[in-house]
Amino acid sequence: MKQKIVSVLLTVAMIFSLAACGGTENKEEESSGNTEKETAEGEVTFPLDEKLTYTAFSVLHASTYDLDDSLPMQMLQEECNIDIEFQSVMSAELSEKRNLLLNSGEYPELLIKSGITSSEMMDYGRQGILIPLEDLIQEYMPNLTAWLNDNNAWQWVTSSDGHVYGLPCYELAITDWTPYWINMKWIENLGLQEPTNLDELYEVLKAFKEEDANGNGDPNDEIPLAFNGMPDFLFQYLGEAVDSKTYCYVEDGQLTFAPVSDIYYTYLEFFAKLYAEGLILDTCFTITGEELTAMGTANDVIGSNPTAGIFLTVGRDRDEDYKMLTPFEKGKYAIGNGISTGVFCVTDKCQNPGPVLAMFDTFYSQEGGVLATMGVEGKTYTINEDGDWEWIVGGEYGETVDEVRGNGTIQGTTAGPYIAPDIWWTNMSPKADPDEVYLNKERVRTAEYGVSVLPNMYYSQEDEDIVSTLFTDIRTYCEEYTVQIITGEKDLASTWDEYVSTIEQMGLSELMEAYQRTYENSLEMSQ
Amino acid sequence: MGKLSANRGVYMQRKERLWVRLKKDIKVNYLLYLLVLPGLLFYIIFCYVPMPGVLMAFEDYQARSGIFGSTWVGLKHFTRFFNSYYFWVLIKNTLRISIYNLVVGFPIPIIFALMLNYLNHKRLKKTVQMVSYAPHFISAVVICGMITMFFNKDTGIINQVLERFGGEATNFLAKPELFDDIYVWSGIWQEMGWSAIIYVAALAGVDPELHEAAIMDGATKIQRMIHIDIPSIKSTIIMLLILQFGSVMSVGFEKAYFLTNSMNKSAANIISTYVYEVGLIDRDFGFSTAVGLFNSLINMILLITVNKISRKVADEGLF
Repeated sequence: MKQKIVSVLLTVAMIFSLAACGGTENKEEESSGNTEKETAEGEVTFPLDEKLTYTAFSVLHASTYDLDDSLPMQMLQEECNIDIEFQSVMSAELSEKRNLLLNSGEYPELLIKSGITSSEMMDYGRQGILIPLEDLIQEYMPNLTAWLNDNNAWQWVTSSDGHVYGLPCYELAITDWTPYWINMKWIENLGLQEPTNLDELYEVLKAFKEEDANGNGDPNDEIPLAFNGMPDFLFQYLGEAVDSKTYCYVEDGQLTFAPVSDIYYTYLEFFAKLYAEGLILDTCFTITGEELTAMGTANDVIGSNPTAGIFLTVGRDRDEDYKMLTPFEKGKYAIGNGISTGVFCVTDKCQNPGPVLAMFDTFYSQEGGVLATMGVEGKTYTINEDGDWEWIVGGEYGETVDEVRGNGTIQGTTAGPYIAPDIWWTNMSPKADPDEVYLNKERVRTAEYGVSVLPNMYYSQEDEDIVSTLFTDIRTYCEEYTVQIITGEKDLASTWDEYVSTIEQMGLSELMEAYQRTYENSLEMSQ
Repeated sequence: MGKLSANRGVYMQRKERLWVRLKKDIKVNYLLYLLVLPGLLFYIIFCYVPMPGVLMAFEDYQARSGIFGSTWVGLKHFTRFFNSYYFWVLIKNTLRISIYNLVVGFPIPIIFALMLNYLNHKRLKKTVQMVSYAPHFISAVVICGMITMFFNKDTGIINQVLERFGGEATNFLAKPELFDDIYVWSGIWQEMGWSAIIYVAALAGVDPELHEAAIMDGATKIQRMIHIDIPSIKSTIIMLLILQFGSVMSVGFEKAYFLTNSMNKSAANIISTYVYEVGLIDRDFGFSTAVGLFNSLINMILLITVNKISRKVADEGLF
């Protein structure tokens, strides 16, 4: 009996080890085939004589639009004689699906608009799941190479191991945090001024609450501050430029972790006061974005709201009542550099990445950028006599601007493989998409106050491990505490010390050492 | 069960090998084996085949190197978990919800089945039973959507009713102290009818003569329940109780995850949601496997202990 069991177990073990061997052998074959083909192909001329097929993982824009069906991708695939089979998922499940896929071993050849983070890229790159692209870019992507060289931007796309694992997206550099919009019409109605510090902001929000700011005769239907999730937008107005990934700010070359600093005390104090006085939408931590939008578009009830573009919350009729609250101080307003990385990655399953990279290089020129972000002249946009461009709404590609953007461009939901062309923001006609024009104007206006906080952070493997181990727990605890303080469940003054010491116990000093080390190394490397 | 196979009758020779005996038995009772097959396959495919995956708990798992090739790190992940701030938070939350669920959720289906058993109107009995077990088939996602809607502060039906009667609208899902109640009672609503089925079946097997005799002696319905029905289904109750103890630490993941928001997170953060977050979102597979393995170990220890106790005290047990 026992012998039987042992032998069965052995058989099972053997089957497993065989399966494992089989797996790796296949992969080796693939990758060796890979290099041979590359050298044989050399330059790529489109259209290809023989149709090439690739598989790709991507996100559905607005949970509706498949990248595959978008006009630019359709055109490009046809022109190049390349067919990409997309597997697209909803953005809510993007990171889960992406990680499952990449870890299952059954992943596609390309990741396009997959939302992959830079630390994931480095991890998967190190494992050999993603292949280094720097040589391929130089060989197959003249447009992107030129752009990276001209803008001295290689540093922003390179991982700390010196490899490039993902292509970049470039758009206008805007605030690092969610922009904070305030209703200027209400401020005018009440004869107030735009706030220039936290106390004034408080006074304004209080006035929104107490008086009939929207002028409909009911002084009680105004919500001075509506948001959902964490109100981190306030980091823009606390007197230190805080980086949104690490939650650190720099003082004399030293990084400080904002959530345990004095400015965070101010942050908590401010929101606790607002909440206690009913100036914040009281369902802010449970309401969904859709519910908030429904509330905001139905009636003129929102006094201020942090969101990427205010028309997303209050609709396109009243968005110009709002403006992005002007930063209180120059140089203390964190902005990004406009570059997102990892919008296009190639896995080791891809035997012949050259042609598809050459195809996507199209989107990295001015004209290609137009195709990617605006579509085709005469189909999705026109240029009027002033030289400004506007969307064609009501035509073949949709009844609204949103539909045209979904069907006619590769923009939206996450950054994509393109550089936004200059014409996008220099010549957008106010007639066709006034809301976007207004948004861009506001972005440019506030970005002038901005400062880029950190260089591109090149984490070493150890530091990366430390950060990924410690940061999530610390951040989760910090959010829990924040919610408890804001809703008045805990008293700030009496629990603050305990909160700080808990975070210290959770390994703050180790985390900060890793950040500081990486910061100093990265400063050197990017010079 | 023993009776059944004896009736069906295959003569088992002691001396023959297991395999030979099994073959003979299969020939005779092949229909029974066919019935068992899907269940057996389920356990093989979903429980035994993935088992080598527990090795991940002891290594820095990397997809490329696989389960057998990743770097061995021993108990690193376990030490990290035991020292982590969330260790006690998770254990406390998991145990609290789970024990609450057990204490309230376990007797209710029994009481419900007893009540059903005394319904004389056949039609009514069937209808009640069907209506009560229908929610079991609704998926957790939908249930959570319904809960979120019903408890919505502004539009939810519960708050509407409360306000109608002069109460004050409350954001129920935002209160950590109410999370347990919402979780457990919605679970009871969903599963009560389904869990009662097994008791209803057991009650149907109670010898009617016992009841007749009791009625003759003038026993009330309550007395009959206590002295006839409950003792007759005692072994079923104990078996299910032991099984429930075996899953004390595994609070259903989906519901906890979908009902979580940043305000009730302090109460809703349980082991299974934590495993999901670190494992699938932060892709720390080794660590999350270690947490999951720890969870299973506790479950196993509980199961064995409760079984032992039950053997001693009630002379009933699973094994």
